[in-house]
Amino acid sequence: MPDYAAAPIQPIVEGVVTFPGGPGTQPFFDGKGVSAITRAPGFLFGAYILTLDVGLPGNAGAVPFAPSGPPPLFAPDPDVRTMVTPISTGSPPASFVQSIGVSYIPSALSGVGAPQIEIAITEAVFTLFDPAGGFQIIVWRGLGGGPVA
Amino acid sequence: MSDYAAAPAQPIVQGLITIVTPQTGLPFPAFSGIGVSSIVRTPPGSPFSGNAAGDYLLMLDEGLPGDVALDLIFGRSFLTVRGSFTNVVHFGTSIDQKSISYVASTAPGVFVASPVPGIGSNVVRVVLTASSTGLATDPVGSDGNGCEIVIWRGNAGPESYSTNLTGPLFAPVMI
Repeated sequence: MPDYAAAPIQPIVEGVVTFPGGPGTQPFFDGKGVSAITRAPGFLFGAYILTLDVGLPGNAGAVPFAPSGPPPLFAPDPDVRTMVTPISTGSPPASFVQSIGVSYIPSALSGVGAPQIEIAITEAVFTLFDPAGGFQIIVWRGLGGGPVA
Repeated sequence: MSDYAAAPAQPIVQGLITIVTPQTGLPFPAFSGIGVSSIVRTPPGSPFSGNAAGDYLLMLDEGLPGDVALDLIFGRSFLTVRGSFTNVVHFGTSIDQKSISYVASTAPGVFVASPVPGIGSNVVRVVLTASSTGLATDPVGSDGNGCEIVIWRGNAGPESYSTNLTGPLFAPVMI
């Protein structure tokens, strides 16, 4: 088999987020790589914080920062890739999702990286909301490479 | 360990597109990752209609894969825009339309809209748009905080054949 794996990526999280009690209730994560899911403080809909399992990967958080310099607040870490796909409901199926934003919340500890991921999902007119069918999520850690311009 | 790899797909590109704002000059796109040798804004003019923002051409590394770049029907990808702390929506993004297309470059600085036989698609075009304005938009500032991209080559198995699935029983038809 030809080996085209020129861009290795390591899956570290996979799962489905649902709302068993309906939108606006406690979100529930079913999968691997996440130890807790909560709503972002102050938000009743559409903003979630997923806490990664300890030791993902290498016991240093999911998305280590650049090797030099102090980690800036909400830095765009170059080594993480996240895919969020809404699950539709109804007939015809629809999710009513307009936009999805993914952010990485760094640890206060130097060298730990970002052990939490925040996801913001909006419906029409950019209002935070819970997709009734939930959503799928996969997080990879990109391996190697560097800047290109 | 069970082998569930019934649908092999090989990652050939993974990285993060960001916008660099120099102290002098215009902001320009940058790529951090593997599989891309350069990134530029899509130039204006035929066959492209370039935009000042949110419209990029990513040149794949030579030899990805098999020195024939990407066969159009085998491209699998996703784009994720990172949220912005300064967006009106908490950690949200204004970019709600994302598209990818496979084009080609036959010479440095030359781009054609379709894959070239024998070369394939050695260039990927990414367009990010905010429907609120109808304009292609850079994922920077309040609109976002970069755009993640992964491209796989599908059908990366020992046999390069295609299977059409037809309903309702999803019986495979070999072509």
